[in-house]
Amino acid sequence: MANFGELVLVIGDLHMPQRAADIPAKFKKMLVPNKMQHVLCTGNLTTRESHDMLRNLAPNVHVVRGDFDDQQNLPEQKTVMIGAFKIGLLHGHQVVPWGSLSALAMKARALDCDILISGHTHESAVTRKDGIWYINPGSVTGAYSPTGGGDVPSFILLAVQGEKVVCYCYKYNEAKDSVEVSKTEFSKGE
Amino acid sequence: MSAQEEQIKYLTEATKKVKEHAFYMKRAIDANDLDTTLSLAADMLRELKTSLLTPRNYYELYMSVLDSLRHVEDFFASLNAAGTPVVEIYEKVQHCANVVPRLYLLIAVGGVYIKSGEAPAKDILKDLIEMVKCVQYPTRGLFLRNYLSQTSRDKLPDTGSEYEGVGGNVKDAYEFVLQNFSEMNRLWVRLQHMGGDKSTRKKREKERQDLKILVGTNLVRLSQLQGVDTDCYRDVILPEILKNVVECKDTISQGYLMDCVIQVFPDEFHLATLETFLTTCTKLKEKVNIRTILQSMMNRLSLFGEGEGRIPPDLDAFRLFNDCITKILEERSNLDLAEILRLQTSLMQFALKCYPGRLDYVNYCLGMCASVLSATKSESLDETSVAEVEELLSIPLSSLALQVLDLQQYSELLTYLPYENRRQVATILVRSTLFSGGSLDSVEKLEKLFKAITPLIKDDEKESSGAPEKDEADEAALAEFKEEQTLVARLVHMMKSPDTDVQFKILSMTRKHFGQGGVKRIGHTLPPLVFAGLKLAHKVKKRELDAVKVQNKLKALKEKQEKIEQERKERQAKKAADPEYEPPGPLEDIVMPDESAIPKPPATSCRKVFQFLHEIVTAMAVSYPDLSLKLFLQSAVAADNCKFKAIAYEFMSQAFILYEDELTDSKAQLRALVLMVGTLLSCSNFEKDDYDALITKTTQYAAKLLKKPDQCRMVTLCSHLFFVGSAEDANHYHDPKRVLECLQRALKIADGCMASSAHVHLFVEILNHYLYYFELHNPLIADKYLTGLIALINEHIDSMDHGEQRTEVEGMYRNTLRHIARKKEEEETKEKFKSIVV
Repeated sequence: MANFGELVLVIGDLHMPQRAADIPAKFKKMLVPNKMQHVLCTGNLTTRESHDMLRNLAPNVHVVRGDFDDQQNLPEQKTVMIGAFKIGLLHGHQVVPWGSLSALAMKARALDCDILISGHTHESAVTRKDGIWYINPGSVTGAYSPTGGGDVPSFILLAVQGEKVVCYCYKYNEAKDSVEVSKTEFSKGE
Repeated sequence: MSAQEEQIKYLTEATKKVKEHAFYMKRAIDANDLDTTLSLAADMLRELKTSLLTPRNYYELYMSVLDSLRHVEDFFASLNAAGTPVVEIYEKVQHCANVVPRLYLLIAVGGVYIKSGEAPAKDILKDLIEMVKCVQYPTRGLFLRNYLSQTSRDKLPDTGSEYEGVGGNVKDAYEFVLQNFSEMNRLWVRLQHMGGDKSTRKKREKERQDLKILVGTNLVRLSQLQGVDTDCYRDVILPEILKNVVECKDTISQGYLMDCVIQVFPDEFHLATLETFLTTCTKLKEKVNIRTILQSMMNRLSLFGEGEGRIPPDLDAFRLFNDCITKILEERSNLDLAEILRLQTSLMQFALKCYPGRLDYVNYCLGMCASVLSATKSESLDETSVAEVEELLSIPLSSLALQVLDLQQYSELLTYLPYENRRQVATILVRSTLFSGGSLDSVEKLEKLFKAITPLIKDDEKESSGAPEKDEADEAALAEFKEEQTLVARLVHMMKSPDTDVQFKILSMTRKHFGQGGVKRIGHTLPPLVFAGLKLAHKVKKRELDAVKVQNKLKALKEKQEKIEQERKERQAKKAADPEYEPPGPLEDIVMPDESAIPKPPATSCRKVFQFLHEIVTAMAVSYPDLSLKLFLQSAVAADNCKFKAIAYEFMSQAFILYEDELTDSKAQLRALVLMVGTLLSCSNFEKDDYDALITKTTQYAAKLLKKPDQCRMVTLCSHLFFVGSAEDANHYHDPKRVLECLQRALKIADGCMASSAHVHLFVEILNHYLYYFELHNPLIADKYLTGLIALINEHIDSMDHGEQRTEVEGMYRNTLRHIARKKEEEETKEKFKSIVV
């Protein structure tokens, strides 16, 4: 088996059962235990069942609080070291205007991180700005978002090997009932 | 001495004698002395004459005798191999004085005799089966015949066997086994009537259960005959077996043998004889449990149906089973309600497995149960019957899911269940509906579903059960309730009609049902309905826009048509006036699109959908202010997206009212405010006055927060409200002065946080915002402010206590300065940043 380094699942905005009934079956088949070492969740799990599901996937699970999460004990933001990378994690509704990279840049400086992961917009993206990588896994259930995002279920898998990251972005195409993957690679300090 | 101790004594003694005789017998065998061997073997076999042992202990003895008898068999075979004709031994054995030993020895020789081929197998078998008749004591007879059966099993003149031909054919084989079977069954039944009073009846039954396998072995033998085909089974074997079953009039025998038949013969045989078999079932004794017999036959056939085979289309198995059950119900008075329900349940299960398309069969079974239930006079059902009805209603769900609601009898039966059990069935129904993945696309379908799952949707009218009370310490009940409501909530996402008008009707109807659920339920069930409504609003908006586009096109087309018509008239007039007139060219023919092909505007307008959403969220507001506030904000963004400024404003103001009236917790206030700012920034179509009013209020709320650092951060965040979009955007909103005011005010508040030494952290955060607006070209955010703030931070940062807080601030500050340094170097920003002094 090829050595992918540490596998990190980046996932969030499940919004079950408020906005979606379930994660697409095609995704569920991919999200099985004993494959990933870390789960970084941008929040809005909203239910205990969703929490338990994530906890089953990997030994290290980090979850931050989304705007629709009621659990008071979840942190608003946190940082995690994986490989050579310091990764900042937050839901994203706290950073306005929502989805703005310039605004997120302030957060990245505050968290002193190399990669900033945020959700909320329900649109997956991997972007680089001023030496920082911004990763948004979108919504894994394709949950509704009034701003027009959503609809397309997505999540991201990071393969971290020392100073290198390969970023796989998975999107579910409902019409074709298929999963599409795109890949981005980068190194620290690039 | 107890009876048991006596038994042990008898057995030990008998076994000891057997061993003794066997020992000397083996010596005689070694000496090749036939006469002595026979006499000693007879002595040994005489022990089997006993009538003191229970069948179980007799079996022990029988086994040890048989062990030694093998040596005798081998001895006979070796004699024969050395040249002694078997017939000689056969004759010799006949002289044995005692019946039981003689017969055992005859069978032993008989086996060798058949093998030797000296006489036809069928003749020897006939001879033996006739001779064993003289042992009529049940236990002795059964074991003797078992020995016969065992010895002969590889010597039957079955088709393909080496004894076929001169030795006979399969008919001789099965007739031999059938005869043995018939006699053994008779002996077995007789054992029941071996004297004793009622008290020994149970003991006898127990003894018989121990012996049943001896009788059943004959059926196994029959099933192993190669020459018995379907025709033979149908015409001879089964009728003969069943005749014995019916005629013996014995409950244990009938129950056991019917089950044996089902288990030992192949599926094809059963399919060919189902009717005969079932007719026999109706003739069995009252105490025989026919249900288990029918059930195992149905299971057998449905396994066959599910596997490779198929039930032949010309065999109406369902009708046959049903006729049988009907007849049993008519004739038997000893069946209780639960048993009747069980019978129907197994018939229904059979139908589901073997006739997957035949919902009428399922409905029929349910109907039978309904009519039985309606005939019972008692007010409420006993516990067992309730469990049976619950089972009956749960079984079809896994394969039929929502289709059960098309079964008229299903809902009828549900009414017989107590509320609690209906709730259980409802949960399974919802689960299987979700699992089946179909869509709930009509109001009628949903009406039926909601009726069936009423116990999940609202409390029982008679009792106040259902939603657990808050003070109730029963956590398990609460968790179960939550789980159920989550299931109901998930149903909303299956409501998917492609027609927006139908979808609206579906959602409205759902709201009516959910609305009756009480405070605890609506917190779970209404939010998904709100999101479904929001999704719908976007769809309706699109339909409306499309309709307008089409109408505009039509209008243009019509105008064009009129113009051409005008031109035509003019040309005709010209032609009338001047016959020489030549028109400049042919006129275009406008074909108007077919009326039915024109997409209609939705009957339910987008506005109406928002009104519906407003009503739902308003209904939740008092009980769930925090959640409702968020739902109002979501609705506001959606309304703005659909270009409904006034509606968006209304939603925003409702959120603000909730903030003012209901949110008292400072943490909740902070969270709500963050969302309010984000929401306002996501809306781009407000009237300017409306927007001004909203952002002024928001900033006021921010300044009124309890904790100073919260105030500072929120005021900073509010600065964004005054600087929306870039200058090129049509609806940008730039108020540079108010931005600056916000930041300066935030600095002032931060300055006041010195006591908690949070001020440096806040300074750096504010510096970042200055930087943000500086980069966005806010004309009032000048380099001097940045330079000044940096100097201020430099001044304070060193006086900070060492620790986590300081490390954090230093990191953020270092990153900020690094960012400025980078901008000072980049070509595009060099000029702008050069005057900032770091």
